[in-house]
Amino acid sequence: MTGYWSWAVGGAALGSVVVAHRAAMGRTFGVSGSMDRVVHWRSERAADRMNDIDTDDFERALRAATEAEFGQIGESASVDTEVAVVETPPTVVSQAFFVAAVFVGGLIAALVSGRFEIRTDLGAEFSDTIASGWMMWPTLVIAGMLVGFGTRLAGGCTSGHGLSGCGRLQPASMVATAAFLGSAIAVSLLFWKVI
Amino acid sequence: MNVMSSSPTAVSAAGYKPGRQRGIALRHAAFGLTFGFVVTNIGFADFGELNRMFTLRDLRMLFAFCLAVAVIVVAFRVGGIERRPPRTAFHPGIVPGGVMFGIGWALSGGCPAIALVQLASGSLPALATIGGIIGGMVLFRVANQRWMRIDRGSCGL
Repeated sequence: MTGYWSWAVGGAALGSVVVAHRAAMGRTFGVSGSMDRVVHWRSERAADRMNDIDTDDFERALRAATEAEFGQIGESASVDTEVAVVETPPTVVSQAFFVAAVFVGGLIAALVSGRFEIRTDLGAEFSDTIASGWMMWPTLVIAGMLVGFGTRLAGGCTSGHGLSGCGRLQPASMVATAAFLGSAIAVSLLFWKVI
Repeated sequence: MNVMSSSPTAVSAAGYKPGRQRGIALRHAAFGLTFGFVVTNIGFADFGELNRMFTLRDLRMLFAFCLAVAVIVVAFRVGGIERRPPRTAFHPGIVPGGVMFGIGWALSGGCPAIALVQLASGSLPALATIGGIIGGMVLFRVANQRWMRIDRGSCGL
């Protein structure tokens, strides 16, 4: 297959995306965590709303009530609340934007390169080595479940553990990456050579 | 002791103003768009390319992945973006989760963003993979809350 970027161009671009994301957003780049939150839209939206409560009104009311009870409060006694700032988690809405945009980015790349093609198979390699005919559908559902369950159990996927984690030299992420790359290579070789 | 301030507090200033959230959502979308564009152009959406990488017949995409990791290491360490990142904790789910994911990735090609770009490239079977991924994620949350209770220490990965 031709027309894909060389490993040098692709690797540099992929690494740059993760670096720029960390620099601009102040957060670790990872896809499966975002997908997990979007999948659990209702509960995650409720959690976001809990964070959404504007504390200013509450504090003003509390201050007024305190002053009514004890008299004027001096400004000098106010504490610096900067220390209370924690990293703002992205809302599930912005993570939904992210997941949808991954799809759109892939669509643009496929259309621009002329590779876009509606098809009901995954190509010769899949039908020759993994499954063919109607067996493809249950195989993909089960494989998808392994991906969904496994990435959440491991706490990250190729982008979270593989790129962000290994890129930050995190031992836990290196072990996770070795586990998923190793098992993927072992299973692929098994299907290719043996089954 | 007075713990209140009449000035806007840092907690609300740091937080969830609608305009600010719109900006964050758009920036997230920009990164998602670029990521989807890049991985598709490398060839990750092509099951054949991925299978040739996993069977060690064509290591082009593996080299691309390794170079991306190297770029991140250099930028973070030398570039000073994050010299001392907080350590990701080891937890009992790392190895079994990684192995399950690896098997699923080898069989479907979805990792899981790649299932989205497979569909975006016109491969309808990716719908089955995406359905499976959603099912697996729902199943994990239920299973972890009821039986496993693994604290993965991750809130954004």
